[in-house]
Amino acid sequence: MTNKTSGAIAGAARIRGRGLIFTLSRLEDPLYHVLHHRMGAVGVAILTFVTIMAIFPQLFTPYTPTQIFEQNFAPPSPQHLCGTDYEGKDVWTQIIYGARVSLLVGFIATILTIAIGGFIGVLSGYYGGVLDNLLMFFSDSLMLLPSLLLLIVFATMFRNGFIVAKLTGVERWTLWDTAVVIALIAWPSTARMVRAQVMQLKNRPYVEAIRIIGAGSWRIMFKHILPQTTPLLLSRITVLTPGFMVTAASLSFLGLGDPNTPDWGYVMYTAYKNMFTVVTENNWLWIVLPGLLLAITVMGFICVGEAVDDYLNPKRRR
Amino acid sequence: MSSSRGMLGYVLAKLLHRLATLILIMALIYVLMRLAPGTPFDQYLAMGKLTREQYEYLLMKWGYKDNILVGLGKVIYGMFTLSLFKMNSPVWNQPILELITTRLINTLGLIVSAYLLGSMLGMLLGLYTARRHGTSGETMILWGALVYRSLPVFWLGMIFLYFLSYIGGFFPFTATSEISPANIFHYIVDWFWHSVLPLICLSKLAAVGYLFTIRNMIMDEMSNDYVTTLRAVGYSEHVILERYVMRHIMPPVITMMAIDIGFLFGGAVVTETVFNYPGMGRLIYDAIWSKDYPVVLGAFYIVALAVIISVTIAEILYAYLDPRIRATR
Repeated sequence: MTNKTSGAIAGAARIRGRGLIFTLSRLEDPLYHVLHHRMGAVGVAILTFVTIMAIFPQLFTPYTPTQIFEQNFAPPSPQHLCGTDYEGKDVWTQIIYGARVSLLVGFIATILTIAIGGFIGVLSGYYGGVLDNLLMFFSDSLMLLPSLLLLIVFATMFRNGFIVAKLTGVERWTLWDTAVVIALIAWPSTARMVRAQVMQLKNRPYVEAIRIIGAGSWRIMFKHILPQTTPLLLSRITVLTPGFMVTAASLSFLGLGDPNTPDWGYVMYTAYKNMFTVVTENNWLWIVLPGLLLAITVMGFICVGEAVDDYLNPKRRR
Repeated sequence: MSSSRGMLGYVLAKLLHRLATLILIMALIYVLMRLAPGTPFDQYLAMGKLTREQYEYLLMKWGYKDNILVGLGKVIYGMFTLSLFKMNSPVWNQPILELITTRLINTLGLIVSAYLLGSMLGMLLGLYTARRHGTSGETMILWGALVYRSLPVFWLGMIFLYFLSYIGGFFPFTATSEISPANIFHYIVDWFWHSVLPLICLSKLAAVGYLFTIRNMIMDEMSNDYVTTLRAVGYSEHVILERYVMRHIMPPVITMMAIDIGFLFGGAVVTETVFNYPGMGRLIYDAIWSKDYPVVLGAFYIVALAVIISVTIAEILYAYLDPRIRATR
């Protein structure tokens, strides 16, 4: 009995070990392809740079974004490359630290969107019938509403905190709230794509075989069908993240972000509010830099996305 | 699910579906607004300009104390009888219809021209790049489009404002026209001069997306076997593209364009904010901010109606062009 158990554990360990190596060797091919793709290489370089900025902002600036200096609206100088804002905070530092906030919002929103979209897509595609009709009705309805308008409704109505803020006891709208609401609004497109794939997969012979062995619906759905949609879900990352970063920045630009964690949109909001000072001080970096960084990051994602698309869709490879 | 269902049945089913969508959207907006705290009269109460009784009376009068289900019923009733637009705004104290009409005309002018400009440009460039695949012209257009696509709308607007309006002085700071519409020719010229920058910003949303979508679709379609056959038979690329390939890719493109009208309304909020343009997006934003529920509901109803009507027309057109769609749904 013990022999049998230990044998099973060893067997499982061996399979798991093989699984890891198998996964890594499967990643090697797309990585090689992306790095040797002209656009892919540019994208990876850009994203590496922005990620370094997000993880080690201290490399780029000696200050912290909440540090307050004596002179507010200081003109650009060697100490303050982009001057200071109305509270005397260093703008350059805010821009550097903004990379972290913008990337974080984009990634959290993307992961949540893929989780919600994948879950609903699998349910809808696998069960079909009334459940499918109902879920697709909701997704259709959400898709038809301008998402930015809906996001503005949420962010304005819940100035003193939505789900995440209330859970953590914070009495204001936070960047986590932004990410959650974006995901709540943006799941339909991913759900539709997953659903279409699941509807094809569920009639495959291997699913039939698993069902005959006696696996339950949930096991089939989440252990045997959902993993098959991984390439689709991974390629969604490069499409969704830049869009969400811009959406979150738009929200901040409208003055609905969280001033305690300034992202690039918030820096542009303060620049826009103080346009007159910016013009008289000729502080054009304050206006140009945050948007330029956002644009470059978006471009990096699009480049990597093109490379991944070409990899997944061999017809289009050149 | 019978496959022999005709066009009429399809259209009726679609219309019912869309009506339900419209009700769902309005219910969502209404419930969200009721869940959120605050009313437009709170600040007057806090400043002492209203007594407690007056405050309570105003809340009763404007329906801020309605049972949520009763309120929902009123909203749905108002949707069908259009009495949603006949209500007064508690903040502006004028009928919503008056408030919305001028803003709607402004925004529609902006959105429609941006949309036409953007989609035409995107489609033409998409066609061009697909046909000139592999040339340096294609590469240049694609990289240019990629950079243009990455620029956030509001940032582009700010750059325009800063360098072209403040520093350069070529364009006005705001998008409101000062000339009276009496002299129609001057008025139109002035309107264009004021709207050029917002137009470029907003058309960006449509243009570049179409370029990439159409290019990818054409290239996917061109790799099909039937195209190889047509080539072997001896049809020219021009004929294959116009008579066969474009015909296959147009239906999804039409649907996509219709759905994008909604996104332009979203983009309009940001563009209107940057350029101080008095349009729908700005109105909705201000109304949400001041908890002016009647205006929010009325404005959202107009936007949702515009989007849904255009999408429904596109879908019916789609089904008309591609009979397979009618069969599956």
